[in-house]
Amino acid sequence: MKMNRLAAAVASVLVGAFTLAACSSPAPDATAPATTPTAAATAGATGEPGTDTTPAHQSITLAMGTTPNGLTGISPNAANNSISYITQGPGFAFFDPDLNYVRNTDFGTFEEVSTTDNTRTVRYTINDGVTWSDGTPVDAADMILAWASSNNRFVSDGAEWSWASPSFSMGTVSDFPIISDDGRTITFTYNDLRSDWYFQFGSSSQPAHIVARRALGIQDPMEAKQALITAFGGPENYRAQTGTETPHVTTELSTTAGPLTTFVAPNVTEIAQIAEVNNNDWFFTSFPTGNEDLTITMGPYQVVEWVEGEFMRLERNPNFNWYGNVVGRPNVDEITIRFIGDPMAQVQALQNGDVDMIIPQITADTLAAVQNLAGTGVIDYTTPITGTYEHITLAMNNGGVFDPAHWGGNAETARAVRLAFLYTVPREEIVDRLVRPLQSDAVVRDSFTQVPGAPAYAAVTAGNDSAVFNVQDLAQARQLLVDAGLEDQLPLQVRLLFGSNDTRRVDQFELIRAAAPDLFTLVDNGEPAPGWGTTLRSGDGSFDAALFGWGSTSTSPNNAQSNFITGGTNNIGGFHDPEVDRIWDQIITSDSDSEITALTTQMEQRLFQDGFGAVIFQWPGLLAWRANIDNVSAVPFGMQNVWNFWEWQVNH
Amino acid sequence: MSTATLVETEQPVEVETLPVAPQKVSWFKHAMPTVAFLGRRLLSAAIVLLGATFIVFMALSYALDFLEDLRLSTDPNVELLIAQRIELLNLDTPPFIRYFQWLGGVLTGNFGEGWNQFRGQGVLSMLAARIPSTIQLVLAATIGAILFGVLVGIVSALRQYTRFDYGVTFMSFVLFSLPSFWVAVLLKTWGAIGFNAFLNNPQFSVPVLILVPLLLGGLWSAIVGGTRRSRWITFAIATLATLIAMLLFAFTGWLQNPTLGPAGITVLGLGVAMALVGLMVGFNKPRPEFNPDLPASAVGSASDSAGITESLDSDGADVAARVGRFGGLRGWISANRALCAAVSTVLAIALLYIPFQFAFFTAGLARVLLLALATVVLGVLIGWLWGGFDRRLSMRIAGLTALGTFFFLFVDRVLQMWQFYGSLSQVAGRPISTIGSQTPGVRTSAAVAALGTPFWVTTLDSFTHVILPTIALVLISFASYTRYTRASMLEVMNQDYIRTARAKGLPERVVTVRHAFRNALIPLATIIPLDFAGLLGGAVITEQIFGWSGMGNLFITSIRAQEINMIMGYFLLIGTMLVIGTIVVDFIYALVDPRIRVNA
Repeated sequence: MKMNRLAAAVASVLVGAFTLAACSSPAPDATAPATTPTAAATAGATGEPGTDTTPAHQSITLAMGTTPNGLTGISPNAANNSISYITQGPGFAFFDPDLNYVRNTDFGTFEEVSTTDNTRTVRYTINDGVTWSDGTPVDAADMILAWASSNNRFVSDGAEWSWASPSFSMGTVSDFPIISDDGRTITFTYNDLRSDWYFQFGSSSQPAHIVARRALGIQDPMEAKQALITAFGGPENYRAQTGTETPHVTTELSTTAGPLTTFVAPNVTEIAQIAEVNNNDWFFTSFPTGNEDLTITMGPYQVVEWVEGEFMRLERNPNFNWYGNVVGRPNVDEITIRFIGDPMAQVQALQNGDVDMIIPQITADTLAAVQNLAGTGVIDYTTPITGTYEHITLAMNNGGVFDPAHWGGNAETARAVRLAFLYTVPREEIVDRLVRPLQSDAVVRDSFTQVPGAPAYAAVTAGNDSAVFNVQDLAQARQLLVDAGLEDQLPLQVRLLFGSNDTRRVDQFELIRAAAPDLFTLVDNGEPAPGWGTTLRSGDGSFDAALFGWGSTSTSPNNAQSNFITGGTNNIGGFHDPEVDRIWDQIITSDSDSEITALTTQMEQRLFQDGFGAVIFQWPGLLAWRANIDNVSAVPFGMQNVWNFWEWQVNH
Repeated sequence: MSTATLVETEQPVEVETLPVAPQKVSWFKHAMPTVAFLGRRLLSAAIVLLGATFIVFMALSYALDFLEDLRLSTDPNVELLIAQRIELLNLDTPPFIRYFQWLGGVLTGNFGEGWNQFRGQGVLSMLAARIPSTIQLVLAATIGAILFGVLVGIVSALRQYTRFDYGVTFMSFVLFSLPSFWVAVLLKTWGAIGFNAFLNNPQFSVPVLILVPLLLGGLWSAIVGGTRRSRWITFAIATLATLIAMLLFAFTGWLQNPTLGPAGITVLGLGVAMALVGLMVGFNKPRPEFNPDLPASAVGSASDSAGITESLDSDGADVAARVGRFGGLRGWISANRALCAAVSTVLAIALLYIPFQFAFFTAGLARVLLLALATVVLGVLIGWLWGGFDRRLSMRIAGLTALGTFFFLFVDRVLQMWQFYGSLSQVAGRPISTIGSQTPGVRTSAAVAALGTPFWVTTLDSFTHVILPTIALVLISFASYTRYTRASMLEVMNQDYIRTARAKGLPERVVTVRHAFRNALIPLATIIPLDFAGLLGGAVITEQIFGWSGMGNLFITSIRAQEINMIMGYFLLIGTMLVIGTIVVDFIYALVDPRIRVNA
């Protein structure tokens, strides 16, 4: 029968097949010409071929929660800024974990040249030999671009443009910077004595010669740089119109500043072209194939691969040569950054070895998962503080219980009610129940302007009366209300605004509500984002107190000024104290750290005494990494875990 | 809102409306009702899209806070920044006007661009960048869910009220109600982290060696069913087979180098051949009691009315004929020949194993597809050579068998890269990934560049990334298909024509596969096109958790970043797909169910 013959055929082929499989063990590789993979595999396992570094090839994969949208530092995107920091290096200075501002003398130097009653002249120098990865020197032109492109005081007679990231400080520079003969130094004058000047300026992360090449079509790098400087006018071409105000600029903060200058640029078309290129060209979401000049860097790494929304690979910039004692030559040859939005996915990716370092949002879940991993010894973790602090601001201009108007203009009664309410806020309990489970060494923050651990924090909190006022004291609260003659009106109603889609805020609300129900009835004015932010700024008087967070970007108190001065942009509650305004005028212009600390202490004391609000805690963060990576730590501001990327070291 | 109507099969309405001599009517007049129908549907689709985009645009304009990031800014410049933002996004203009500005842009081909997270990115280019990875992720999952769901649904219906059926029902509801983020976390824990750890030390513990075979044995016996005795036999065989397979895995180190080899391909290919022959022809020996001279006309008419969609091509007629007119003898011979054709195809491909390896060595996708085509042609040719009464049937079965065997050949070649892939420094012995669609650096690594072709490694790399999200999507979406198919299958199995088919002596296989299964699929035809239309929407949560940058991720990122143009572009695309999907559903319905026409 046919079937029998077929069965025989099946049997014989099967036998043949098994024999074949048995005798040539990695059968396909032996028979097909595909034997090469085995050799390549060994090479791949021992070290990435193609890198000749004597020590073993080191690579680290980081997880980032946000996805970058460009290779530029001019956007508020946190991933952009971190990646820019890694590729370009830290520039003139950076914060270390103790919040010291470390000057990066390997890159360049900056100093104050002179001050007058209302101006401050400063000088920035980039070291000889610092170059972009295409060999062009980093010099004054790059600094001119950084200054001009954040200066909203360039106005035009014709063409319209605006800069992507206008900076308040750069807008106070009154004259075109003076460029030194060697082209590596610029000197310019702030028409303002703000003491935080040294946080305000850095060289452009976008090479001036590339900007000029793309905007003006000039190929030669040095000619392009010169054309860029000329386009902005250069010192000799400026027509300074003293005293003219641009319409958008807020003037409230410039109380000490001299007359401001508006630059009328000589060539508006070229500036408009430069603005267009500078604002937009460095924004893209995958490797800019065909526009490789956009990946030029002056720092230790350059982008070699970038898959949209997934990962970015950085390899050493072969022309990086300015490392020294402050910023060393990085130990890691290759840094891969993977964009993982989900915090739990970050933890699992760390566990599975897909990434080596994660910085997920801290929650009870992510922390527990990380602690589990840490228990196996392959993972280390830390719970650093972040730059945001939680606080309560009271509204004093809405006719509510904290407003003197509510008590017939009796400011003392209003102050007593404010202090009484603040005395009921269970700060210690909030920290103990909501923060310490995540961060065991968490403390109640006792300063309106200083981050715990910052150099001035101890001095400021010692003298700002926070020990008296920033505590829970129910007896004192009742006494204040009784003394104010309000005993028969208790409990008073307080409408608390907060973001109700943040469970930590809801928990805080519940704890505050439960603290002294006989004194204050807390009304839930919680709104989910983004509504609560709109209400916060709306000035509609619909809340008596607001619970939210402010972020800090530096150790200088200056950016907090607008929270407290009369009419300040961020003075949500309409707080008004001429003495505080006066002290702020001194703080923002003071040059002496000890004087700033003393003034800040004085100013905060008035805030606490007057019942401005309560400061509660600094938000905790979470950083976990494979235990074989050395020198990992985090700073609260900006760069977080990448602040010292050059010190990372992988032990095999 | 289907506008299709139900018309009796026996009375084609065209006949009434057409002139006396239908053959003289131009094709245009024939097509007229369809064209008018299509025109009306497209018009209503456009109106639906217009209304929907307006509602969405207005809702977004009021719900999104375009100044969100500036509200808590401590920048002294914040007022300037807010003024800049208002100017950039035209926020001074009422949303109503902005909608028409957007609409005007869309009508002139300008879909706008992003300003925040997708700053400077055109909407169209962003959609184009995201669609491929979405399709890679969701297409396999959708097809998998449909195939798996339909299969389980049918088996569950055929085994109605058995333990298997109850089990499937229970699991369907469990999976249906599982949150995808939780499934994803569990899959990562076991499928990636646990499995990778297992790969590095592939030993089963004793409880696992006992429990897993017993569970699988129970599952198989429940699926196969039958008498108590046959259930126990199935149970024993399946348990033992699983145990042996697990022991082989553990002791031969097969998992470190999991290739199939020619032997494995032959065995699996034979399995495909058997399954195809079993489904399409059946192994039933001729049964004398159905042999007698049943009048051919009676059988024929029974067959005609048997199933609504039963095709009356050679196949359908043959089934009846085989059993009736030729007393099963011809059917037996057909099965015999088809089986022979399929088996010889498998053997031929197995014998060509080494030439195939050479062809694969430098292959890319195009060559692989060509080779697949060539293999199918080879199978068809072998089927033709076996010939016989049912030459076409043999050709078809042999062709399909060739395709199946080629699939295993392909899998074998991909798996040959397993060891190499695991040894890459970027993979470092942990092949299954929890994140993303590819391992960074693998595609550009020097080791991969040294290979004849990167195709096999990149395929394997894609596979190790797509497997977990696909399983997650299949698990949570196949339940609904199971329920639909089961309900529909049960309904069909209770129809009169099924009883008729059984009464005239058709084998149960023919009743199930031809008469019941095809008709049971009609209700599914209304769901599946819409699922495919919605496919481009991506999977928001799954993409988020597995770190894929597909359409779902684009959508959620855009909402978080107030990228109104991106959301509108996304919505327009998905909306259009769905509207077209509903029109396609109407046509498919008319196609698969002759009682329905699309002219109403």
